Amino acid sequence: MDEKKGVSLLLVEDERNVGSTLVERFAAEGFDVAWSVSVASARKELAKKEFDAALVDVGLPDGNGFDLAGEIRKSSRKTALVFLTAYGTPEDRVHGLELGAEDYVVKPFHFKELLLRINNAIKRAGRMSASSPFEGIKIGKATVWFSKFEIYSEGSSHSLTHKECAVLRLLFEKRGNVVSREEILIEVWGDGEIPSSRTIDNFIVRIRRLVEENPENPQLIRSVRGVGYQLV
Amino acid sequence: MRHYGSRLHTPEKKIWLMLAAHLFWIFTILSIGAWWGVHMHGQAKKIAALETRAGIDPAAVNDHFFRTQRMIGWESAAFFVLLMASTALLVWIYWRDMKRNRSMHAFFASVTHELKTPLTSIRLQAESIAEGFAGTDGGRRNILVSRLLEDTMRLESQVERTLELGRIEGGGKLHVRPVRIKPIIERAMNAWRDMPSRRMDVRADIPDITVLADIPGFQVVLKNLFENTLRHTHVEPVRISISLAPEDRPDRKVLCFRDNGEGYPGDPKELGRLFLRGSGSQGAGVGLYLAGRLMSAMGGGIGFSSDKSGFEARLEFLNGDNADG
Repeated sequence: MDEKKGVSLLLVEDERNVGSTLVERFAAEGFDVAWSVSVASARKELAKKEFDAALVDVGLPDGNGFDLAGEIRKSSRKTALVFLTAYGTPEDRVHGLELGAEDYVVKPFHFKELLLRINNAIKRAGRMSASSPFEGIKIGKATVWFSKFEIYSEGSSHSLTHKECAVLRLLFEKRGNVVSREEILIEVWGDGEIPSSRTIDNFIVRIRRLVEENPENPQLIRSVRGVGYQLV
Repeated sequence: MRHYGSRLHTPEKKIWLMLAAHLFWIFTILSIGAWWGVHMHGQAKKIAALETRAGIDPAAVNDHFFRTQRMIGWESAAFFVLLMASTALLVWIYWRDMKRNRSMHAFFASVTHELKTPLTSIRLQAESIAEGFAGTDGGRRNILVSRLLEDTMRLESQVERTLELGRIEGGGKLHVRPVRIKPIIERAMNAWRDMPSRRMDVRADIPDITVLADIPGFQVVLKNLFENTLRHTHVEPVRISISLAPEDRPDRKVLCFRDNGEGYPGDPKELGRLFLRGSGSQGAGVGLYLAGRLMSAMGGGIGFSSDKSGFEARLEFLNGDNADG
């Protein structure tokens, strides 16, 4: 229980009974929980402090969790973001993950599984924000700071989502070698949410736009048909 | 407003394909029609030439030719109109079918979502009890049990609402007759006053009036309004007041149901529409839509308004004072 002491969690859930019980259970696990029932109250909480993790319901009374996720990413790039929702269509999952969420938990859920997935998300986010030996490195036309989730490209600074950062870091660490899609899945997504290979392709497309001179004809991050990608 | 639950896997390509098929069909009809008109005109000319050769009076031949041509013209036009009308009808049927499919998809997505929400809570409370989360703390266990019961009731209501909506949409009839509504409202108030996990302050100031209503239908309307308030009101205590609006038409009676919630964040005009998912908010609008359908079926109507001080529903009934029971 003490293991989680000091781990701050922002819970954004408008269902009273679900929210109340989750607050009690997370608190019992040692989390320092702040509960918001709307986008507006979540904004107030975000203005007060930076959270280690945010568990966000997609359907909220005054907005949606997807939009809020963007604001969380802006205010704190280190926060592990997990969506909690009843919308379980593949499109929604992909959309959530592309927004930079660590995981996407579909209701109804088993609390222990939710806890495990949040812990994994926090660990992954922690690993990502830990200081990296590769800081300010040049990849193609861009310069990347992995621990800040920042990339400087074409005269301006862009923020990377955790997943984009993790994919780029993996490719950089294994530069010269072909990294298979399975390897990306395991290294970046872990054993939680498994996206489709199309999701990985979408991440690569976005990364290429930032690092390639000509994203239409990528020379830096090459696709190896049927296998994966290679950072040359 | 993004419509997450009903994000349809719309076959965009299919729509374009169908449009192309329809355009091809119209082109084919026009081509066949034009060919038929030209061909018949040629035939009329040939007949006129044969008649002239056969020594028939040229004036009669000419007259016969023009009459035939006029007939062909009218027939061609009628043929065009008929085929175009059939095509338009087919296109309309197709679009209506598409729209219905979308609605059905949205309906199932919304209902599934609405069922999942209480199910999630039920599972969470039940698991917490089963895993001994409350330990020996009886108070905490009671809270979990009361939440469990509340969510079970919500799930039950959800299923009832869906069934009732299906019945009404399928043409189900109501038994509308003069009804004294005060006792019905009082019974509903008593049922909703004792919510285990919410502090409720429910008040009604209603004279003993008679209106035209269906008793089970009116009970469903009230239940939906109470549930809507509980769902969207986060302040404590939840205050609900039911009153009779000042009379502006002698043949009508208007009840006002008002709560102290945060109000609807979107456009109040959207309230009462089915499959509404305003600004990502929860709910598919089934409850308020059903309330509206039931009030209409009772010969009355319903109107909603909302601001930051709360939500108000105005239930309009036909006056039942002078109606035959």
